[in-house]
Amino acid sequence: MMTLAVLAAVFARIGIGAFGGGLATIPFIRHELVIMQGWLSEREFSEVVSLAQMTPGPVALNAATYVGYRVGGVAGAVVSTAAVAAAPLAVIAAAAWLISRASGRPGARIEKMQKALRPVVAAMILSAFWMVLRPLGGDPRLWVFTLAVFGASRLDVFKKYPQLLLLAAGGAGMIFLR
Amino acid sequence: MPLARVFFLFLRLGALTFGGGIVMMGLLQKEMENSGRFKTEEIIDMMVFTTAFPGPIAVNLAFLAGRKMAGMAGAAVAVTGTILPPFLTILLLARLLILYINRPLVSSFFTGAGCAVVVIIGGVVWSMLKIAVSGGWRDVLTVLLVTALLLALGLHPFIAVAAGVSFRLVLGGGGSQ
Repeated sequence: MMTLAVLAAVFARIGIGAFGGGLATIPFIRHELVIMQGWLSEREFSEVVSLAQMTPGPVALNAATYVGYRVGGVAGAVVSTAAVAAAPLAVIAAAAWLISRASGRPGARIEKMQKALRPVVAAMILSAFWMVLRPLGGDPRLWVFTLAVFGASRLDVFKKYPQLLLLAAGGAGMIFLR
Repeated sequence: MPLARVFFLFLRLGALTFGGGIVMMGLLQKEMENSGRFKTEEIIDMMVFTTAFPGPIAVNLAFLAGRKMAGMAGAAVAVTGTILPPFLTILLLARLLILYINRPLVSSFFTGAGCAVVVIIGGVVWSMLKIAVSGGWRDVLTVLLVTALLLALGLHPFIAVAAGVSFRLVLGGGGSQ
């Protein structure tokens, strides 16, 4: 029971922290799961991010299901996924209620907030980039491989379907990175 | 709109939203416009609303659109439909992954895929930074501040976000469009 309560609290926090789309959530996920709870190692963290990019659904939701399952079985997966979705919905419902009661143009205030969020979201994604870049470490093989993937990413097929790029890179990894 | 239709619409969208909410936004907008029940500005307002508030965009979008289509029951059904495909996919893969992640083939697959994640996020960073820089020195300063709080000081992202938003609001003035 304790485990489920902790899972619910952690993923409620991650859900509320999920501003500005999937990638900007990555620093939240890492801070909570790797640094604070120690549920994932750095290596496992980047595996979860890769897995989330290959499957449907936002990163935060995918991480909740995966880590919830690992920590607390199927019940853990259900609780974590529900928490990551429901917590921000409570905030949104409260905000919608406040806005419906507020006089004047709420749109202007939302716009102001959005403008202020934009550089913050850019910084979150920049930090996320550093977090996935760092595990490459000093292994020159990985840097060459990443450069090759970058080259391949310019092809039209991969521009259109980024998931294919992940699968192709994974397949190539099975050959060249064993 | 009947609840079953709302559910299956979002189940389909949930299964298709690789790459998160932004992709879903485009698909949903098309669906709602085609249904002819919603005004374009009504749809745009909803999209703006979802990005200014916390939570995964796909889930927020399902909640707001579902409520517009069939009230609170519609919202519940839409959120469930959106979550179900990714939930089941990961649940299935998690079982397999926990068993096989230490096999050299599986682990080298993820090493390779990890390099592709670097490339993909790098591309997003590049386009985001271009927008931030074109937004002027106030935005650039905010990016630097938040990045330093996160990476150099290792603060909890909540603190970094709150500090960054307050900092940008205090600076006022123009910004990126």
